Amino acid sequence: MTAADRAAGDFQTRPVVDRAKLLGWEYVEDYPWFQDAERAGHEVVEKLKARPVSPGRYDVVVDPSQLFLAIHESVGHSTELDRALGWEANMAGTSFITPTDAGSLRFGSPIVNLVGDRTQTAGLATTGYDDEGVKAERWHLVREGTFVDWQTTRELAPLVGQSRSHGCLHADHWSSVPFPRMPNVSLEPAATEVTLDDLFSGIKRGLFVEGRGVSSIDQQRYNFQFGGAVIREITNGRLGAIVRDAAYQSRTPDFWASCDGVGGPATYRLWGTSADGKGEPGQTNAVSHGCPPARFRNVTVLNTGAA
Amino acid sequence: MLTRDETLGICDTVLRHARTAGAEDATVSVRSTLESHARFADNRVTTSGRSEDLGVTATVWVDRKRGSASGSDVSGGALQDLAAEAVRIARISPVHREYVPTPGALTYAESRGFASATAEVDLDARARALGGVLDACRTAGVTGAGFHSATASAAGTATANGNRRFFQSSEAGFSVTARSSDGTGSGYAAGDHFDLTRLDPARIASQAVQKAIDSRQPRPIEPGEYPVILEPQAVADLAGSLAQAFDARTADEGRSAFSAPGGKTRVGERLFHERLAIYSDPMHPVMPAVPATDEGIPASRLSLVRAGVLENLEYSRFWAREQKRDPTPGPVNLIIEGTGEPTTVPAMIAGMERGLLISRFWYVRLVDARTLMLTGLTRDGLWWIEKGRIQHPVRNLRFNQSVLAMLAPWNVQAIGAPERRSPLLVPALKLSGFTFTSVSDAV
Repeated sequence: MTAADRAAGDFQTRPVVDRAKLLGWEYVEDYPWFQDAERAGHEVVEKLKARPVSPGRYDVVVDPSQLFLAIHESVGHSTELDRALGWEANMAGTSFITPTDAGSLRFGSPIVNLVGDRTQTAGLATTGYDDEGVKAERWHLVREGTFVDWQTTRELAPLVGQSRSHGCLHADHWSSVPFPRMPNVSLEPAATEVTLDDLFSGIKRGLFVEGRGVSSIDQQRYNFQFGGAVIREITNGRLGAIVRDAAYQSRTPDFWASCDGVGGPATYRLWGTSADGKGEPGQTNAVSHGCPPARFRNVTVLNTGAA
Repeated sequence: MLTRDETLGICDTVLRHARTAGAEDATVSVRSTLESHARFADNRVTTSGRSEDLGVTATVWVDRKRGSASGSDVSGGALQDLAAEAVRIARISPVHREYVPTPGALTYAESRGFASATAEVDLDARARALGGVLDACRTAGVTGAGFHSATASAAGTATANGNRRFFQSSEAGFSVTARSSDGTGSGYAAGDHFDLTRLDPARIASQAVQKAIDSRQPRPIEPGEYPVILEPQAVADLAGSLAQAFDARTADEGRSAFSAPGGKTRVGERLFHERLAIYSDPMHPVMPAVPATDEGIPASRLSLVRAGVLENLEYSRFWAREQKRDPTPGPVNLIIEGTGEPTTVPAMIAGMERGLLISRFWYVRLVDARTLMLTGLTRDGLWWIEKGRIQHPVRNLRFNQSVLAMLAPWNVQAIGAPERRSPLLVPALKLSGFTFTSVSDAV
């Protein structure tokens, strides 16, 4: 949704939240379309009148509606073993993780636990069996901050000493070659209930990032820049006004190492993207990422209007 | 691929069924395609394939309500079902507020962008070419990955108002990424042409291999604003966002980089360097395109920027009607070129006191549509230039840069000869300033 001030020659856009899931028609009927649209209308007008963000370092709380995309780009793609082996070098790129890193690479802080899961209810990459008949399963990619395992197929698993594939083979069309595709990759919530207000508390100067904004990440999945649909100030633990032209920029291991708070089970949400591209000829894949909101300390924030 | 008569015959059959089912207006498109490819990585061929496909799409209007259905079965009963389904969908759809009656009979030029050699790939020749590329990578001690593809299509459209058009087109492409054995260098090169016989995989691979060797052991530099030389691939990686900004409706509605205060547009303003011309031309000998827009307007040369002045925006049939003017005959491709004698990349380097040479960009995204601010990263070859010579490779950088500022009158120092990067034809550029915001560790 775009609001334009035609007299001033200014405009702002607020993407309307899309939350694809692998569910039946009842999901379409139950989805709060009008509430989403009404909220977007109010927020895009507020965004048009908002002041630009002051660039610098901020503590950032990222809502599941944006964090899912950060997980997709920085975790989902970096833990694809075919990328680490150079099989995607000409298009999507490789990975900062090397094939011998499982079990030793520090990926994030000890509260960071990330799983691959093709059994998750409503997940866009959920299936009974993959394209070569391997039964779907759930497994840890990152446990207590350490990278522990890859996304694999039957061809890939033996290359890292494993006897069983994690069931990630998929083709998007009858004419497409099946190849490794991302499962649902999700961040586990805290064991106890942690609310959004708990995550805000103690933040003197921060930002709360919601919704899908611009995303860009390098070919080895180190350096990224993410925007949001709506970004609000956090001052002394309280949520404030919308700021415009904000994007956060970090390096994957630094970003996840700076995570010092994740929401509890009640804050966990499943989001997804229906068009993840990979391969030559290009194929698309639908994939979900579940997560609670999470807090990241001392993150670089840009003013993209003045960059 | 289907012939002209076969293609338009299917269109006519579906049109007849649509009318019988109650459609008041309709457009039917049929596309048959051939696709063939070979992919390699880790210095070995990994996958290859060939596919033939056929698609039929019918879009119909009933009481100004629109419905559309697609399929791939061209048997008589299936085509009747497809038309009936489109009509059923139309009947339960809301009124199409932007409905414009489908075009009637129009005259089109013959498409120049088709070569039978691309449709009928010589697999032995492809295997020999890839064998040579893999040998070159092994000999140089680099790891090669790449993609060789050839596609051809025959596409026809017929409307209830008598429009009939049919075009063949083809596209062959080859790209290579070479990575050095120490993991610190990476080079990329690519080429494309509608005629497969005009592709030179050995030359493309040689360029990628040399870039991989020359980019080893890069040194970091501080992010900031630097003078740069963009090779044609790097210009192409940014120009796609510019192409989308020429839409007249978004500009007229105040939501485009080409909108101006007071509800006006920036048409007539000198926004770009005076030597820059940007246009579309389906008959261009190097970068031809199908001589019709997606809406069926016969395409011809359309000047968008002349002598740095924004001259035209793109008007769809609907928006042209709203604005009481004619729809524009394009764009169907995008050609950026400089008037006057082009400057070669070596000459640009020789004339640079200090700055960066950029091979290509990656993961480029539009950050701010008001200024065409883009973000993305350098990839596969970045070098520091000082006193007219390349000094050393540089670690990759993230940029946040406005395309309008990049091509502004004060920022363009030199323009190269345009090269084909389908669907673009773009030159190398030497620029006074380009803004980088962080360093990337990626190779």
